[in-house]
Amino acid sequence: MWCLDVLLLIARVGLCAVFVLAAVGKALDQSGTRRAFEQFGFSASAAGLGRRLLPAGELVVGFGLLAAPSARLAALGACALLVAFFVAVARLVIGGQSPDCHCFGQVHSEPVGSATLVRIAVCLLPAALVAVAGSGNRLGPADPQGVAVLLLSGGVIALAALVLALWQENRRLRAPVRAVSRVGAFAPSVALNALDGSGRSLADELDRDVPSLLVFLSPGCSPCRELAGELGRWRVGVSDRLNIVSLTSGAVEAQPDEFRSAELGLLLHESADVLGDCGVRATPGAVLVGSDRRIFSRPAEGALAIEALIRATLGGQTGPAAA
Amino acid sequence: MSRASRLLTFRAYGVDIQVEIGDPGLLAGVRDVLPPGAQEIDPAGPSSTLFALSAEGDVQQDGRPLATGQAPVVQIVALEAAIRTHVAVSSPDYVFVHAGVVAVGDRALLVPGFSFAGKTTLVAELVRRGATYYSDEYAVLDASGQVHPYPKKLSLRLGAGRRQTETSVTELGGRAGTEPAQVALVAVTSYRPGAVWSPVRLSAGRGALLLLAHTVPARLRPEESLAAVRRAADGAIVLEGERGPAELAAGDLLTLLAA
Repeated sequence: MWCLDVLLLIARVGLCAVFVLAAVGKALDQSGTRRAFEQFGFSASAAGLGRRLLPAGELVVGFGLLAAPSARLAALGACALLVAFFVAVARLVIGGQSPDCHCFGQVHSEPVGSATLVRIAVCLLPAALVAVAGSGNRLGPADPQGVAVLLLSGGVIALAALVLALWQENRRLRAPVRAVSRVGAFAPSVALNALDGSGRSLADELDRDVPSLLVFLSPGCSPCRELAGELGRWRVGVSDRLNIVSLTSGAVEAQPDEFRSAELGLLLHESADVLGDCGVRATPGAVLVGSDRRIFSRPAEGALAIEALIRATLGGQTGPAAA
Repeated sequence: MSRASRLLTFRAYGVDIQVEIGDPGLLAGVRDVLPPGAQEIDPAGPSSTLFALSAEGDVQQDGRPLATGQAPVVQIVALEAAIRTHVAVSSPDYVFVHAGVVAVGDRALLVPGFSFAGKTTLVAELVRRGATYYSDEYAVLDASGQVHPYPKKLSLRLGAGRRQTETSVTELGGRAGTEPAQVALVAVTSYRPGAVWSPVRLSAGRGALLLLAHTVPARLRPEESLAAVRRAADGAIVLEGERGPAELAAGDLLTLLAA
C-alpha cells in the first residue's frame, strides 16, 4: 500500500506541474492560444472563450490535484481534458493536418502528430490512477516523507532526462558529418598571398590545362600538419596531371614549420567563407575544380579521403577528366 | 548490419579483415581491390578489424569515419588505401617498406619511394625488360631480410588520355614472382625531368637508414623494422640519384642486378 501511496503522490504532483505549466504558458500567449483553437476547428467566438476558460480549467485541475480531498475529482477533470485533447488531435492527425499544438503556450509548442498522442496517453495513465485510487492515505505533498519522496523522484526524473539528453547529443556527435556538395558551382573568387607576401588570385591558380585540387589546411589542425609533408611530395609528383593548390588561413607567422616547404606551395586566404563556398566543413579537406572554376567533386575530408580523391582523379574516374 | 549489406572476411599477410558492404553493387569493386594473396576465411572466426562501406558513400574503420559522402569510385579507392595501410602496419610476420620491387632470379632490386614519386614507371620498365615483378607499392620483408611478393596491379599511365590505369603484370608481358628473393640492389631515386641517371654508391648502413625512412611500421615496431631493413641492406649495393626517363636508368639497374 505504501508503494501505491508513493505512486499516487508522484502522479498528483507530476500532473499538477504539467497542468499549471500548460495554464501559465497559454495565459501568457493568449493570441497564440486563440489561433490554436481556430486551427483545431473552433469558431472565432468559441476560440475567444476557450483561450480564457482552458487555462483557468487547467489551473483548477492542477491545484485540485495537490489537495487530498479534491484530488480524485481533479483527476477526473484531468482525464476529461486529456481525452478531449486526444480526440481533437487524433482527428487532425487522421485528416493529415499538423497545426502547432500550443500545449504549453509560450513555453513550448510543436506541430501535433502521433508523438503528441503518445504523450497525451502517457499523461492519461497517472490521471486515471488517481481518479480510480484516490489521493492515497499516508502521504501528502506537505508531509516530511512526502517531500522526501518528491525530492527523490524529482532527482531521478532529472537524472533520466540528463542521461537521455546526453545520449541524444552523443548520437548526434558520433554521426558522420555530412559535407555539402557544391558540384557544379563556381569556386569562389578570393585573393591569396604566398608566404613571401606576393599576391595572386584563386582564379589565376585554377587557370591550368589540368584540373586543380583545392586542399584546405589549418595551422591549428594536427592532421593537417601530418598531411602537409606528403601533400608537398604528391604536389610535385603529379604536377603534370593535377594542380594541387594548398590553402590556409591566418597570418604568415601563425603557420607551422610543416606548412613552409617550397614543395607544398602554401597560399593564404583571408575569406572566412571560402571553405563553406566549396562545401568543405573540416580540415584537411579538398575539392576538385576544373580550369573553368567549376567544382567537380564532393568534398573529401581527411588525409585518406584526399588521397583517394587524387588517385581516382589520376585514374580518370572522377573530376573533369571523367566528364 | 542492414539486411541488404554483405560481409566479406579475408586474411592477407597474417592480418584478418572484415569488410561490410552497405551497397551490394560495390561488392565486385571491393573484391578487385583486396590485397594480393587475400584469402577468404570463415566469417565466424576471430577477426580484428572491420571496415565498412555505407550506401551513403562513407568509409569507416572500426566505427571511425575515414571518408564521408563520397562517390562510389572514391569510396572504393579510399577503402583500398585504408586496407593496404592497415595490412602494412599490422602484419605480424612481415615489415612493409614503401618500395617498388623486381627480381632477376633470386636477386631483388628495391626502389624505395613515397606515393606518386614515380616508382611504378620504373618498375614497369624493368618488367618490360624481363625482370620478375614483385610490387610497385611495398617491399614485404621477413625477419631474415628477404623480400616477398606483393604483386598488386600496377597503376600506369596508358592510352591517349594518359590516364592512370590499373594494369596486370601479364598485360605488360611480364610475370609476378612467387618466391622470396634476396635483396641485392637498392636504388633510391626519384624522377626529375631532364635529370641524368648518375647515381652515387652509398654504404649498406646508409641504405638501411634510407629504407627505414620508408618503413611503414617503423614507429610502431622500431626494433623489428630496423632488424629487417638492416638485414635486407646488408650485402646489397645501394645507389642514390635522380633519374630522367625510366628507360635510361632501367638498363643500368638490370645490368647491376644480373651481375
